[in-house]
Amino acid sequence: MSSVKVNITAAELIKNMKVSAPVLYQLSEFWAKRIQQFTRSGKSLVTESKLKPLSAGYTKFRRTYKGAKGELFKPNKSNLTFTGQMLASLKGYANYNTQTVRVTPTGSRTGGGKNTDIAEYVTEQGRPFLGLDEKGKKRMSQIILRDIRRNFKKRK
Amino acid sequence: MTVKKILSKDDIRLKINMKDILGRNLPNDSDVIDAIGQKAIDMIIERTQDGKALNGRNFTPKYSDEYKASDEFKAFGKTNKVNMTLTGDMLGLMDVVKSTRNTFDIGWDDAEENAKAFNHNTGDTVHKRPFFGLQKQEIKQLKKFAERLIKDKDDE
Repeated sequence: MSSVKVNITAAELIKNMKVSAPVLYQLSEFWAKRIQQFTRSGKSLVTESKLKPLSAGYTKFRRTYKGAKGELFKPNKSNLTFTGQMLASLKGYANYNTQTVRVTPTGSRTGGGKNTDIAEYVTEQGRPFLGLDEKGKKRMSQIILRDIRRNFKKRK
Repeated sequence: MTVKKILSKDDIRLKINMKDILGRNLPNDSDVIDAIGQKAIDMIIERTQDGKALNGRNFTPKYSDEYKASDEFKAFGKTNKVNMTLTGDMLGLMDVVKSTRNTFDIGWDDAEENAKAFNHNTGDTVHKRPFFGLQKQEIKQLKKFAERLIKDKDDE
């Protein structure tokens, strides 16, 4: 079974430093938004390349589909957006005790089923999207560093 | 020179001499110079994301209709405000890349973001929209910020 949540410990970003709860929360929000935005634009943060193209048959089905569609839906665009529910459901969580942040799909879908099931399915179909690219890691390290610099007096 | 700007494809940076600005040495504490460096970065980002160029005016030209219609523009939730932010990586990775007791350099360790910043500031391959630097007024603010830090340090 593929993973439908991703997590990272603060120690992977900054060694030997306990990150405050508000900053951990900020990191989790940043990460969830990054996955949403890059995936909607058609890029995977796991492979750091374009998402696998849609098959001709599935594209044809999407062209003729008359039901509700997500704002960023395009029949031939591989961006894990049909109704848009799965990506919109992504949520970041932070745990101060374990110094961990994670991102996972949440909730049920209007048509039935859970968003985690869809995330698992698309991953198994060769479109992994729950991950963090190298630049994203740098951004998260930078968020921590900036907080340290801004608040150095409090630490003394 | 108080603030010196280097603009090359491989290395775009601001070299800021706080001793020249303050007329005295800073405390011998790397946290102090890093906090001042962060303040300078915060001012550049705040102004830029507010849509103001280095000269204090709104960035020009406005976004083209073609760019506004693009998938990326929508996926990253951009608005009509020109603010040098798509993924946020360029501004988000601006960093204090070097510091001494009295001086610091602001720039990018990331070659891709360095090149992007160079292009935007010089108009090399895109519209010229200079944002990297400090306005006279911002240098005054930085001076005040540093004086407060020094006073707090002296009071310890």
